[in-house]
Amino acid sequence: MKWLPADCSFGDTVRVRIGSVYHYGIFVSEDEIIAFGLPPVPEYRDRPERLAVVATDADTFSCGSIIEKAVFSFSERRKKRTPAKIVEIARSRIGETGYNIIHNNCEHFVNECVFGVARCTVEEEARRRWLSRPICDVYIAEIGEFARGGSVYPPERDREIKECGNDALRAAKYADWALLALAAKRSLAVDFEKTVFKKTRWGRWCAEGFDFSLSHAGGAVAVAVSGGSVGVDIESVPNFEKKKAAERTDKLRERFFTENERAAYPDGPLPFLSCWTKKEAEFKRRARGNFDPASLDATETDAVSYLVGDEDETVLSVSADAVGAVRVFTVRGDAVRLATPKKIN
Amino acid sequence: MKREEIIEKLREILAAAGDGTVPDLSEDSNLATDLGLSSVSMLYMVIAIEEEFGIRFDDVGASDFVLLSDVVDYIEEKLK
Repeated sequence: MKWLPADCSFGDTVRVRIGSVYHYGIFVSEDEIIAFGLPPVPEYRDRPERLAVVATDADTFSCGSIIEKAVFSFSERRKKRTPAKIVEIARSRIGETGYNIIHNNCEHFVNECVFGVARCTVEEEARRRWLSRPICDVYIAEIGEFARGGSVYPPERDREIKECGNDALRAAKYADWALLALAAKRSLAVDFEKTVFKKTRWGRWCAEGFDFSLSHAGGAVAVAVSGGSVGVDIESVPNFEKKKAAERTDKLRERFFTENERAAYPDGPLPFLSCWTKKEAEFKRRARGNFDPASLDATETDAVSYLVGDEDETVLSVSADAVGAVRVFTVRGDAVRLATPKKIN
Repeated sequence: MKREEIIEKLREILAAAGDGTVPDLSEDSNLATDLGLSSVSMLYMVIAIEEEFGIRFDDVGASDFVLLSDVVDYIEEKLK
């Protein structure tokens, strides 16, 4: 369907632009345009027929804007009713109420008169946009909150966790898997217990239907879930400083950073951790091979870094197809809260 | 679903429906003056709420909602 500012005829579908929206009607004559509601302008706000099917003249319908008429495609012309039938149906509905901006508005009305199907392109487009929006959500929690033990799904992962001999690592693995279950259900409406999980030849767990990435450091655990590919990595700033690694960042940079990275990330713990976690996040997103930090250039990725935690004690980096859509949630007990983390270079 | 959970979900919807900025919300927030929702963003928000909460706004008009608490009340009622 196209819209043209042309002379209108009996039974035409017409519309006018009012601000950011369109108002639709069925043209009968210059003295009779039938529409569901009056145009959404302040002067009609208090009129009782504002939200009913009404017949008005062209001036009232247009509010001074240009009236456009619908030019139907070949297939639409085959489906549409005759002008006489369209007008007959529109007239029969004059006085009808029940206006609803989402489900029963002026566009629904004209489509029902013309095709017998009530539909609204604005509603359909908004719904399509919402349902197809990129999702890249990161959840962060304290390991202690989620390291509850018990059994996890799938059994292969459960066995792997139980066989882990290091208590702290086992707790972290319990925590990241429990947080993954929450994240996948909450952000992607995934039926976690029916998801097929596999381990790749590079030892990375992956799921059918969505991508995820896990990381833990300094008592915190992070999980990223996305419809596209995603990698996440966190590092604890206090732990890094405690290990005295912070004092050797110049040597670490020399060994592991590319020339571009050394130029982009000045010496110091925070820039170092930001660059390092970006590399790890990018490596996890690619999900293949072995981690070789010197061959992976953070400046050539779209990865983003944030400072998270009550005292900005954790550096978080995310690499993803939908990196512009990254949202970070903090999880405490049953409370999940959308956070506003500080973005860092 | 608890009232606080509904408000938190609305924060997420408003952030996603807008420019990504996470809004400060309270039950007294006025949708038009405090949150600056235009008629188009209100439409987008309502559709997002329908999809996220699995409900249908079939018996209200946009002007029925002035404060955020009106939206929360409506969602609570529909979820019962």
